[in-house]
Amino acid sequence: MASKLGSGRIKIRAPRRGLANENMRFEDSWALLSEALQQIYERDASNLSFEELYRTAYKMVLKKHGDPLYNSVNELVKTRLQRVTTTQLKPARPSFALTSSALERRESGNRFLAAVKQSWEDHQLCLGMITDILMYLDRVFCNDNKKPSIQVTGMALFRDNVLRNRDYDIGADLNRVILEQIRMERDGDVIDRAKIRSCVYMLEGLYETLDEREDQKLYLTKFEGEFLACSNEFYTEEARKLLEVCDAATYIERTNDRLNEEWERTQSTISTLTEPKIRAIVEKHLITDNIREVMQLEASGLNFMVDNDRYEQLKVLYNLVWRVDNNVMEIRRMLKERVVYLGREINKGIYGFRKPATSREGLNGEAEDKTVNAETAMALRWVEDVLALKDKVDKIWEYSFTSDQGIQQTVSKSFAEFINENKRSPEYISLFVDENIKKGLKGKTEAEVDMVLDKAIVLFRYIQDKDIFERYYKKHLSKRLILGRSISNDVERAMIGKFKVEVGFSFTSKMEGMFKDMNVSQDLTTEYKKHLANLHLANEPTIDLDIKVLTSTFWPWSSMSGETTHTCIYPSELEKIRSSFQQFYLRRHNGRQLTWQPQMGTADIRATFKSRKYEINVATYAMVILLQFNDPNVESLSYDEIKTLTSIPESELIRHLQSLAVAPRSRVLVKTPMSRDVKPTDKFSFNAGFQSKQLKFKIGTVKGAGNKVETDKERKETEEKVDESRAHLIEAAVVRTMKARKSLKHADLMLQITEQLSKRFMPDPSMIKKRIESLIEREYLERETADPNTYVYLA
Amino acid sequence: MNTQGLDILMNAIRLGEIKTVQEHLGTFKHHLNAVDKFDYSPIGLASLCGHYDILELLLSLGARCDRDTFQGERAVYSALNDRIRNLLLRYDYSVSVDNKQPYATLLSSLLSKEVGCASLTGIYRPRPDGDISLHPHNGGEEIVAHAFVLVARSKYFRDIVEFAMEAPQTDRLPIPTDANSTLAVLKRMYLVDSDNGLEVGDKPDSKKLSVDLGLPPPSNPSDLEPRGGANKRTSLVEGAQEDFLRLWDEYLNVPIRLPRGESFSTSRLAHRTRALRPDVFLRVESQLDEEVFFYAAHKAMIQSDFICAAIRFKQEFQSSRTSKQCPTIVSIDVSPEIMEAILKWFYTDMVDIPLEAVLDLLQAADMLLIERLKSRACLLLTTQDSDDLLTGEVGYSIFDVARTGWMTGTFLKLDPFCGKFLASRLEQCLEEGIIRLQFEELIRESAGRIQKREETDTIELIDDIRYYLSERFRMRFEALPTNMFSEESQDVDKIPQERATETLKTDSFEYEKLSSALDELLDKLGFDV
Repeated sequence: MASKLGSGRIKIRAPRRGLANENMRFEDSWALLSEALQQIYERDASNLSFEELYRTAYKMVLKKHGDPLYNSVNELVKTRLQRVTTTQLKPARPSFALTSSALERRESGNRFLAAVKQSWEDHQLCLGMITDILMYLDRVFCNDNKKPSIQVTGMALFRDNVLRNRDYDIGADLNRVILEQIRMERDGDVIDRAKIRSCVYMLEGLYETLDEREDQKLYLTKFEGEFLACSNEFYTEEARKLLEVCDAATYIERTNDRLNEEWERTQSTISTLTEPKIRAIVEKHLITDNIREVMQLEASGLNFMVDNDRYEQLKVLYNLVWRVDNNVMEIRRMLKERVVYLGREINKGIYGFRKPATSREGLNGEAEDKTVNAETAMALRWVEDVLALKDKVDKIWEYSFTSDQGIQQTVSKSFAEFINENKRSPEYISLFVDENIKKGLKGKTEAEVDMVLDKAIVLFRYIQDKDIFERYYKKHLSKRLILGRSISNDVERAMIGKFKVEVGFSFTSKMEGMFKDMNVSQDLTTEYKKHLANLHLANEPTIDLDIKVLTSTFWPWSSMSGETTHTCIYPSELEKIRSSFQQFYLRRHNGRQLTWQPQMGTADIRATFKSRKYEINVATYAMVILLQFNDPNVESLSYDEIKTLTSIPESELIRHLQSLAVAPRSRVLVKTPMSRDVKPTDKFSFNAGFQSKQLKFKIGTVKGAGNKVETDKERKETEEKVDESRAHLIEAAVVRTMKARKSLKHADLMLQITEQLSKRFMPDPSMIKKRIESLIEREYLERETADPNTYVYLA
Repeated sequence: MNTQGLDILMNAIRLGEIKTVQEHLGTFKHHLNAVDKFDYSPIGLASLCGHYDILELLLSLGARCDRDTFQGERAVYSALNDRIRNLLLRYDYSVSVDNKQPYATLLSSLLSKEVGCASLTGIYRPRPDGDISLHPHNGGEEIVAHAFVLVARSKYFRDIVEFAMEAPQTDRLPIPTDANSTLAVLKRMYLVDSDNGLEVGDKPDSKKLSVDLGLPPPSNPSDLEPRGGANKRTSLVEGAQEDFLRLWDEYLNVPIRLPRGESFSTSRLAHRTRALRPDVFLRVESQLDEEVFFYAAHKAMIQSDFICAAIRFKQEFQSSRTSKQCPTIVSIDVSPEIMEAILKWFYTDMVDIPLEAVLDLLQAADMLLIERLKSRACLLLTTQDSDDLLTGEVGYSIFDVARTGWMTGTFLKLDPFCGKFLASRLEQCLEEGIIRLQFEELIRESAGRIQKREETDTIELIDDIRYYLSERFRMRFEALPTNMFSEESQDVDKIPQERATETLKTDSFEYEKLSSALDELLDKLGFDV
C-alpha cells in the first residue's frame, strides 16, 4: 500500500549507533534516578525531566540492570515510608488514655485519621509518578521475570512499613481510632465520616499477598473482624439496655433506627462488603434474641398493640421479625394466643348467659320462650362479635402484616379454634344467615348483601362440624321457604352457591332440591286451579288451595314435625278439596305417596263477629279447631270433645288452643275457666264479642314460626340425629375405603377415614371404632386372623 | 429497528429457507448486519447452522464479518465445517485483512460510544476531548469534533482553514443542516460503523452535506456486488488513510527546526498547522545538523504508552510548568527520520521507511512502548532475503537483527527468521572470516541467554538453525515425485528419476557436511551439545 499511496520524504542517513555499544554504570544511573525519586517524595517534581528519567530506567533495563534497579527502587520506597511513619504518623498517634475527654479523644482521633489519609494519598501520588517513570521496567523486566509490578510492591511496602511498622503499630491504632469514632457515632456524636471512609478505602486497596486476591483485602482480614466483634459487644449491651428501659413500641422503633443506621454506615463510612455481616449482628441481638420478650411485654407488647389497633407499630414489628424469620413464627404464635383469647372472651358471654337458662329447665312454656328469644338475640350478637374481631384482625393482617400468607393461616386456625370450642356455633352462624336473609337485608344493595353473606361464609369455613351446620341451615332454610320468609330467592341461591364453592355439591344438593320443590309446587298449584276450573265447580264456594309438595328426602322432617305423626280430621269442606288434590296429584304421579303435613300450613279465614268481619291468618290446625265452632248448634266444646272431633295431636292442640283462647290479643275463643293452662276439662266457646283494631291480623302459634335457638331438648335431639347421620357417613367411608384397599391396618384406616370426612366434620375415633365393630358384626369386614389390627374387606 | 422482522429472518436462516431469506432481505436490507437478542448476526447463524447457500447469499449481499468484532469472530469460529469456514475466509475475512482494523477502531473511538446500553443501540456521542464544536443551523445540540480530523477528511474544512480562518481561531463552526445529519457525516469521517450497513446515504440532507463538505459521495448500498461489503469497508479505511496521509504530508510533517538552545514557541508554527490545534509537541534532536526538531501532534492519535505517560506526568504532576503559552513538549531520543516514520504511522497506519532504518524503528518502538508498530517493523525485517543482511550492507547485519529481537522482546518473531536465514547461508557463516567470528559471538550470546534463565544444554539459536537446515534439504526431498521410490510404478520417466536421485545424494551429502561442520564449531566454542 505504501507504494500505492506514495512515499514520504525520509532522508537517508547513517543508522544510529545501537545502544548496545554505549557504556553505563549502574551506580551513575541509579544516582540520577534515586535523586529524582527523592525529589518526587519531597513534592519537588516540577523540574524533573520525565523523558530523561524514563530513558535512564529504560537503558538500565536494556543493560540488564533491571534486577538491582527493581530492588533499589523498592528499598527507596521502603525507607521513605518508614520515615513518613516516624515523622508524620507517630506524632499524630492518638492517646487512648482514659482520662482524656470524649471531645479530646475525638479530636485526636480525627487528627490521626487525617495524617493516615494524607500519608496514603501522598504515597499513591508518588507511586503513580514512580510507576510512570519506571514504566519500561514494569512492562519488560517485571513481565519477563514474573515479578510483581512496582505498583503492587509499592502497595505491599505501604502495608508492611506503615500499617505494620515494626516500631509503631499504625494499623492497630487505625482500627482502634475508627472503632472509637464509630462508637461515638453510635452514641449520638457527629463524626467525620469522610475521613474514615478514606482510610477504609485504603484498607480495601491493600492486600495480604502480592497476588492481590479479592478475599485478601486488609479491610477483610484485619479490620472487619474487629469491627464485627466490637459491634457484637455493643449490641449485646444495647439490647439489654433497651429491654430495661423501653416499652415495646420504643424498642422496635429504636431497633429499626439502629438497622438503618448501620446500613447507612456501610454506605457512607465503612465498606459495603460488611453490610450483610453487621446486619446479621444487629438482627441477632436486637431481634432474634429479644423480640419475643419484647412482644410479651405486659403493657405494650403484641397483645397491647393488637387490642389497641396499633397498625404502624405492628407493621414495624412485623418487618423486624420478618428480617430474621421469613415465617414470622414468633408473631404467629403470639397472635394466635391473643386471637384465641379474645375469641374465648366472646364465647364466655354465651356461657355466662346460658347457665341460668339451663337451671330454669322445666319452666312453663312462656318463660322458656323468653329464654329462647333472648338466647337467639345473644346468638346473633355472638356472630356479630366474632365478625367484628375478624374485621379487626383482618385490618391488622392486611396493613401491618402486608397480607402475609402464613399469618393468614394462623388467623384462620385461631378463629377455627375458638369458634369450634363453642359447640353451638354452627347453629348460631346459620341463625345469623337466617336473620339477615329474613330481615337485615332490606334496603341493602346487592354488594352489601354479598358482603354480609361472605362474612358468614368466612365463619362457616372455620366450622369443623359442617354437617351440623348443614342440619341447622336446612332446618332454617326450610322454614323460610315454607313460610315464605325469604326476602329474595336470589340471595338464598347465592348463599347456596357459596357453600357449594366451599364444600362441594354433596353439601348443597338437598338444599337445591328444596328450591326445586318450591318451584314445582308453584306450577302444581296453578295447574290444579286450572283443573278445578275445567270441572266447572265455580259456583261452589271455593277454597283457594296453595299446596307445597315436598320431596321427603330433601327436607328436615324431624326438626319440623317433632315426635308425633300429624293427622287430623278435616272438616268436610276441606276434606273434599284435599282428596280432590290428592286424586289430581296421584293421577299425575302414579305410585307416589302423599303425606299431609297440616302442622306446617296456614289458612286465611274470614270470621264474622258481632262487631264486624275480620280476616284472620291462622295455622291449619287452628283453622280446623275454629271450623268446629261454625256449626250454629254448638254452644261450647270441651277440650276432650275438640280432641275427639279433630284428633289433632295433643301437644299441637294445646298450643293452638292457647293461642286462640289464652293469648290476650287474639282471643277469638273463650275458655272457661279462664287460665293459662289448658286442661282436658276446660270448655271453649266462640267469642262473638271479639274486637280488634286491625281488620286483617294473624294469630301465631305460641311457639313462633321464626327460627330461634333450640332448646336443650331440641338440641339433644339434633345431636342424636347428627350422630346417626355421621354413623352412616362413617360406615360408607369405611366400606368405600376397604373396598378399594381390600386390607388395611387399623391406624391407616382411621387416618383415611378422618381425612375423607374432615371436610364435613371431625369424626370421633371412638365413633369410628364403633362403626367398624358394627360392620364386622354385619360381616362387611373381618379382622385378619394373624394380625387383629388389620381389617379385611369381605366382598 | 424492527426486531420482530429480524426474528423472521433469523428463523428462516435457522431453518435454511433461502427463499424467505432472500425475500426478507429484499424488503429489510438493514437486517443484513443486524444483531438479534442472542447477539447473533445473520452470517454468524448461517455459519453455525451450516447453510452454505444462505451464507454465500448473505456474503454476496455484503454482510460484514470483521474479525475485530465479536460477531465476526464468532461467525468464523463457530463455522460448522471447513467448507463454511473457507467460504468466510475466501471473502477475505482472514486475519491479514484486518490489520487495518485497529487503526479504524482508534479513529472511530474518537467519536466515542457511550458505555452501557447506548453503545449497543449504536448511539454515538463525540468524546469530550474534541477541540472544535459544530453548530448545526437547523437545530439540535452542538457536536464536538476534532479539527484535524475535519481538515483531513473534508475539503470544506480544509478551505476554511486555508482561507477563512486567518482571524484568531474560532472554536465554533456553523453547519448548514441539522444535528442528525451532521452526526451521520461525522460518523463517516471517523469510520464509525453504522449498524445497519446502510450508511448515511439514506438521508438526503446528509448526502448533500457530504457533497458540501467535499467528501466522496457515499456508495449506493443497493448495487452490492459480490464481496461488496468487505471491499467497501476496506476502501473506506483506505480512503481515510489517504486523507490522513495528505494531512501528514501537508500539515504535520513540517517540524519547526531550531538551533540547539533556542527556545520554542508555538508562534513559529505555520498558520495552517496551528489551525489543527496540536496539543502536544514532540522534540527530537538531529545529531547531524545540531538542530532541534519540534513536531506538532495530537494526543488523540498518539499510540505510544511512553508519550502518553509523559504527557500525563507533565500535565498532572508538573502542571505549573505547562500552560497555554507553553504547550506540552515531550522529548524523544530518536532521530528525526524515525520520529517522522512513527508519527506518520500514528496518523496513517502506514510504515514507509527504508530498510536501513527498520532496525532503528524497531528499537524506537520498543522504547516508546508501541507494540503494534513493533510487529510491523518485525514484519518488514523478516521480508528480507538478501546476502546484504549477512554482510551488513544495509547498515545492520542478521546478527544485529537477532540481538535486537532479544533486546526488544520480539524474538518470538525474529528468532525463527534468523535461524532460517542463517541455515540457508550456513556455508558462508562457517567460512573463516569476519562473518564466522560474528556468528560465533552470536552463538555465545544465545547460549548465555539461555543459561541465565534455566540450566539446560540447548541453545535456541542452534536449535533453530538445525531445524531450518533439515527443512532446507527436506523441502527438496518432498518436491520429488512421490512414486519415485515405488517399485510398482511402471510409466515413470527414468531420466528425471535418476537425476532426482542424483540430487538427493548430493543434498544428503551436503546436509551431513554442514551439520558436522556446525558440530565442529560448537565443539570449538566449548559447547557440549
